[in-house]
Amino acid sequence: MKKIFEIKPIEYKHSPSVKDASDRFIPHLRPLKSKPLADRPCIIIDNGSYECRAGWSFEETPFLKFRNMVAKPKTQVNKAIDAMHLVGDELNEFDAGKLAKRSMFDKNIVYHYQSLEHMLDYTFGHLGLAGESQIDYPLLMTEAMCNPNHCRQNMSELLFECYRVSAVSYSVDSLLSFYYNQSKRNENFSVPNTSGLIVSSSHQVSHIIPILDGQVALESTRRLALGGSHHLELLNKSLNLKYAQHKNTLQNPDAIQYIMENHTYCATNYREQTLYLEGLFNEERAYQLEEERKKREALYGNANAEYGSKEEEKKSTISGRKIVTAVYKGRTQRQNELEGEDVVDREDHIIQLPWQQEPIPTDDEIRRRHEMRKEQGQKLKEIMQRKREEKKRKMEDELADLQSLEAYREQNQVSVFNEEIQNRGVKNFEEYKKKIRLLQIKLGIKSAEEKKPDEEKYNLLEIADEFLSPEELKRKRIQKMQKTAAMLREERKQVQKIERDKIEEFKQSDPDSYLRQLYAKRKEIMDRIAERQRRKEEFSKRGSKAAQRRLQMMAEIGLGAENEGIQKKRGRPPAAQDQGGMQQGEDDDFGAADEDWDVYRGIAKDGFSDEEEDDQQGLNELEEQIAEIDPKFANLIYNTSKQPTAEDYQIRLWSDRYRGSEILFQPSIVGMENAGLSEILENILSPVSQAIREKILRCVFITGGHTKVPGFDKRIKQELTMINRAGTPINIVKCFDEQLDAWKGGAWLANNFFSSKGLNEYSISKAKYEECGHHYLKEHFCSNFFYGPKQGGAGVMQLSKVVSLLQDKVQQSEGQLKRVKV
Amino acid sequence: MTKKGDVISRLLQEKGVDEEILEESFPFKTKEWVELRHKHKRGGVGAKHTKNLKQINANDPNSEQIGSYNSIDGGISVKKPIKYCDFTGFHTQYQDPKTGLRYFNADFFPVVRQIPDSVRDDYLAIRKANIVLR
Repeated sequence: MKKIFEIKPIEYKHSPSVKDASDRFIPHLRPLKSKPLADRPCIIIDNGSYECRAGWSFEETPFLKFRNMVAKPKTQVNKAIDAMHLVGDELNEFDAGKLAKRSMFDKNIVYHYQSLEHMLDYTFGHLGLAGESQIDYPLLMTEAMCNPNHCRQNMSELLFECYRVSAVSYSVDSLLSFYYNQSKRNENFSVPNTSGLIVSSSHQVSHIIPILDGQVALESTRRLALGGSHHLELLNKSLNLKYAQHKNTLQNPDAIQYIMENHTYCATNYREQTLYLEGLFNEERAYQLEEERKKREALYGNANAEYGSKEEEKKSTISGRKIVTAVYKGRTQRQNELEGEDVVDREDHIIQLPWQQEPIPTDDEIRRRHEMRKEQGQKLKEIMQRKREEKKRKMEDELADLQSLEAYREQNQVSVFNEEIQNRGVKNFEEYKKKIRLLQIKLGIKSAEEKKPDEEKYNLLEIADEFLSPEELKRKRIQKMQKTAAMLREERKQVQKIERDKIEEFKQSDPDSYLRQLYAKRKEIMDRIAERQRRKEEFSKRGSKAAQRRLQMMAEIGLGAENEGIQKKRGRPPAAQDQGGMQQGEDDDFGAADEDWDVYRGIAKDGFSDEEEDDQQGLNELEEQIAEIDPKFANLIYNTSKQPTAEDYQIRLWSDRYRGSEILFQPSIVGMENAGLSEILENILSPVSQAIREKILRCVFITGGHTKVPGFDKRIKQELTMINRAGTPINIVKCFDEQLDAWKGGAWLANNFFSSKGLNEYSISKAKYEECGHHYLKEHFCSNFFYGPKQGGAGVMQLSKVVSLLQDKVQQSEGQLKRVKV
Repeated sequence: MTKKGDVISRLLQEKGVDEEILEESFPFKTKEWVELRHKHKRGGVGAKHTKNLKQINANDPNSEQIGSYNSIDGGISVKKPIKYCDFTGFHTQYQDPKTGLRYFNADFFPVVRQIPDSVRDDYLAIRKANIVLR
């Protein structure tokens, strides 16, 4: 049996209180406060677009780690609460609906500085600085690769003017992670000797940064505006579209997050993987069709195998809930034999969503309900019976009353009689007679005339016309008609009875063939309905033949009157020239005859609604008949009140497992025209000489939160192997911890390089900020490069020092030029 | 376990929310800055307009220079995009001309045809192929 996974709820963290933080840090910080700035510990803030990590450089791991979001509560009751700004884990204390969330990031850069301010308030407060009057410690802040000057200006302004931070150092997170990992791995690590290729993929963007001899090769650095958030979005959209019935679970972002973290991976070879799943899908589908066929045969027999419940079949395929155990077992075994146990799980996954089983009613319960229903039915019947009797009695009374009036008439008291009947709402004698007759019919009393035997009834028929008076002749004609009608009725009754008997006999003697006959009839009707549906659909399309025919017909009707005139104009020899002149002024008489209106019948869009109703009725009757004989059919058609099972609450991840991470390599999946990572790598490396390639590829470093997806490193290796010459050594290095390495790198930088004089080399002091202005940037090996106009004061542009991966090429081409000149 | 009211009162205390001014206050922030912010908030002169990334890049006079945000953009792909089924993500060469959806095989065709317009648009929006009327 295939493994079924479950969704576990994500546990919400709680924000530490300021008091906890103070208790933790103040004893540490008190002795350090009197020391010179360079010897004080450094605050490290890794300000990532997904998570922010902040802590002190003397600790191993960041103390604060929270989702980088700022929210405002909207209670609209307590103004003090509404004045607060919530940061990170504090959000979890409130209902999500009562919060206005906001991220300070646009793509990977900080643009909303009010939110940043609230985030920093929170961070400094929770790092044991709640009681300080200013931040008298150095601060290391990460920023995006190639952060625009505008953003850095705002950041510096905020840090120095609002918090009076004594020194700020800006670094790039992926560079920090890279150098930190290199220093831990190499014993004789030194910055100028380090070369490599950083492939980083974070929440919003991905970067490729080549590093040559401890310098960023800025010319060849590339960014792709896709990352983990896009992966999540794609997964969310496709799952919600596919399983709209599980909206309640799947629209919860936590569930999607859980699926992404636990069930996605990066395909090493996307095409092969997709083909593999296609094969699986087809195999399963074929198996399913076979099963359906067998089932249908068992149900209806071979002859009628064509029509089953086609709808149902399709549904089950697409939601893909039916699992074929046999197919799976074979496949997984083969897979394991081929590639050993250590293989990325390539199968599709089935996930059980949370659901609740409704209690199944016990037999007693069912019986009780049934009896209750029966009792109620009995009561209702009795009531109806009483009512009927009441009505009958009333009518009998009325009849007796009316008939008693007859006595007046017999006694020749016509005026009294008339008065009496008028009192009872009857106008004259004719009406009186009618009413009595009606009551008699209703009560089932035969009138005197009907009671007569046939001879008396049709007494005039035997007598020849000559002997009859005109009055009698008239009556004879009526009698004649009545007699034929009665005879026809009898005949028809007889025929129907014979037919019924025949069918009954057929039913008794050969129920199977009878059933088959019914099925055939049903199919006929269903085909007719389907055909009508198809035709209707065709009409709705403008270009279709049916629609064109309709248009043509309309045009013909419209032109009908002028037809001959047109023919004449076109120069055709008119059939009857002498009539032409006469027709010219004549009024067209369309519509005078009833047949003329029939032409519109062809035009009417839904002119077959009557037939439709008839067919539907016929179908219903047929199905009732079939259900009477064939209990299986009844199950098939009417079994709608099925209990939901666990299977109904399962979702199946086919290509969804690896499609999300594939967007990095094929942005066209999400409709972007950008080049994917593999194409970017190709573009970067293609002009580079082999020597430098080998130097860089010796250390392909993978970092960033989104590279946690299993198989990402294998994929990068695969792509690089395809680009490079065979035999080029490619060494993939994974970072220790995708999420924390940037912060740890910051701590490593602060601990190893910021001592005494170093601090000035790596950071902007407050005095420097005041001297050089807000755009000043101190460049170092982990930082960005300053671009734009020359920096004021002592700041020296280092951009001239930027290394180029193409240096060999440039020298070569220069040499060639010289040779040409010589 | 702490009660919700306790948490909120703790947060209020931590953030130093003043009952009268209804503002957060932290000792490590300079008064000048806070006052300036306050003034800007009330619509005073000199309030900085928040720009998004697009505006920042458009207003950058040095955006052509190497090292700027635009300079490291990955560029546009020159490879022909591969077509995948909108429902399964499998390779496909079929596209329904009526709805514009791509489908894997004949099993999906009735689904493609019966799909409501809104859902179809959602499917197309994944690969940004839907037509948006503005």
